[in-house]
Amino acid sequence: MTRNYSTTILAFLVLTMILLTFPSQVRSAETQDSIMVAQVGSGVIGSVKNNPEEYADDEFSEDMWGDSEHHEEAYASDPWQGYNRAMFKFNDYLYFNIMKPVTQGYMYVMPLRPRTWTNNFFQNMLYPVRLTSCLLQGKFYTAGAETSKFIANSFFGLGGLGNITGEAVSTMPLYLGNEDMGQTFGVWGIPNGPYFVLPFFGPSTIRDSVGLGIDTFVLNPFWWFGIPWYYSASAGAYNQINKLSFHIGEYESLKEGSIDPYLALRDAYLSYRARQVQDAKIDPNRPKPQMTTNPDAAPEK
Amino acid sequence: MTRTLSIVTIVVLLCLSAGAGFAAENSPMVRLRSGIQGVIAILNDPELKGNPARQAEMNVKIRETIKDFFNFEELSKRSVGRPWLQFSAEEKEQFVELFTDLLEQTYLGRVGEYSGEKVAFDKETIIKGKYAQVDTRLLTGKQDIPVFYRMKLTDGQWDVYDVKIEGVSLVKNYRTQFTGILDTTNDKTFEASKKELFKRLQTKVTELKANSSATAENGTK
Repeated sequence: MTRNYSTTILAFLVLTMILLTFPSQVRSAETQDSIMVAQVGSGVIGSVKNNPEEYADDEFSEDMWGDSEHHEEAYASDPWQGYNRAMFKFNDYLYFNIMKPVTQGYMYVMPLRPRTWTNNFFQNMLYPVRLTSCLLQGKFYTAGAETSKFIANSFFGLGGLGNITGEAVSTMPLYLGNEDMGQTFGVWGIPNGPYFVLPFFGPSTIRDSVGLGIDTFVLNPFWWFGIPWYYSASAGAYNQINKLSFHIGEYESLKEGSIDPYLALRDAYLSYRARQVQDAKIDPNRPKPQMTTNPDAAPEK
Repeated sequence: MTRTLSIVTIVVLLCLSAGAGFAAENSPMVRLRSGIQGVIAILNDPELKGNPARQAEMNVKIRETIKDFFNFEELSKRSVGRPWLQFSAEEKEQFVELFTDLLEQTYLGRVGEYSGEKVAFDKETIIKGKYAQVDTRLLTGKQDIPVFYRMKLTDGQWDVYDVKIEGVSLVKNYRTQFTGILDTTNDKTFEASKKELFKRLQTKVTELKANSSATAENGTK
């Protein structure tokens, strides 16, 4: 009698293990139908989330694309709108009256190539920021790629001035983009918190501001080795100007097309960050595009 | 014998290619590609290219081509969101016109920055036979920029109603702005805020038009 009983328990345990190791939600790439398989662990069965068929009838819903999570991440809580709008105006004034003319002057004196070298140099110096965040997010292949890039560029690329390795390429799928602490917190599931416009730095959130603080003062080598703060700060400002020289015109075009630039920038920042947090992998084995445009086409006569 | 065989082969091949052609005919990806290709063709037109005197003509042509594969009504509707249902038919029409103007004035100038980049079409996803997303990449040489087009099937044709670049969706960005202006607390505030919205759109369009004509004059001088 006892023997039978233990066999039942054993069978139950084996069955549970099989069910637990089985993927709880299988998503077919073609149909995008989510097929629920038993979620034994929690005992939740059949809670269909993001089923596209459910939403397609609602003509205003965008939930069918499976990026509601992304939208949630980009949802703005903005309790300090009065302060934020004032700071937005201040930054806007600063941009058009100081940053932009200075950068344009700098671009006039400094040709594109040295500006690229400077950019490479700073990018290389800030390797600890990216490495730390990659490791903390468990993106080990990307951390490896960053490390080999850092070593190659430091030793063979004239201390980081050159970018001899180009974009990181690996046979393993890598994550796109520059990782930072704000993204790391996001990956850990810490929400954005209220939207918060920083003086000089522009749009941010509470989470990203904390991340930026850690990135700047703890992980940035310019603040190590007892370098006086005014040197570190000037280097940082110079990096910003140099970076901006590659992006002049982007803020203008966003502002030009908007009827409320503050809200437009807020949404753009939050959406962009949400995408960075849930960043896509670069898949080296990605299938070739199904078709491309012909850049030399002329109208038929 | 060989002749009949070859005839059969040809017939089978013809049927296959016809079938493939039929299947691809109503594909969102094919439609999007032909639309974008049409714009590129106009930009490459040797008669119009680099000819400031005929810039206006070129802009009109591009505008017509884009209007053909974009659904500005759907785009406006989704940018406004649910308050759209409380717009009268005239208001809807006026809104679509103003918003289309605004988008054209903002983005038409940027189309001219095209310098031979290729667009790669990776994937299409169709949901419920009515909505589709086409994943594309703009190949700039340095870095690929992923651009997602969202399309809706209206009257048997796939038309673009949203463009998503770097996580930023055109519709959502404008919806954030419009909902910031529209106040739906009660009918009175809604009417007032709707007027405000139209006024702001009108001001913006006038401003953009003045700007673009100013730069056009500078260009010809």
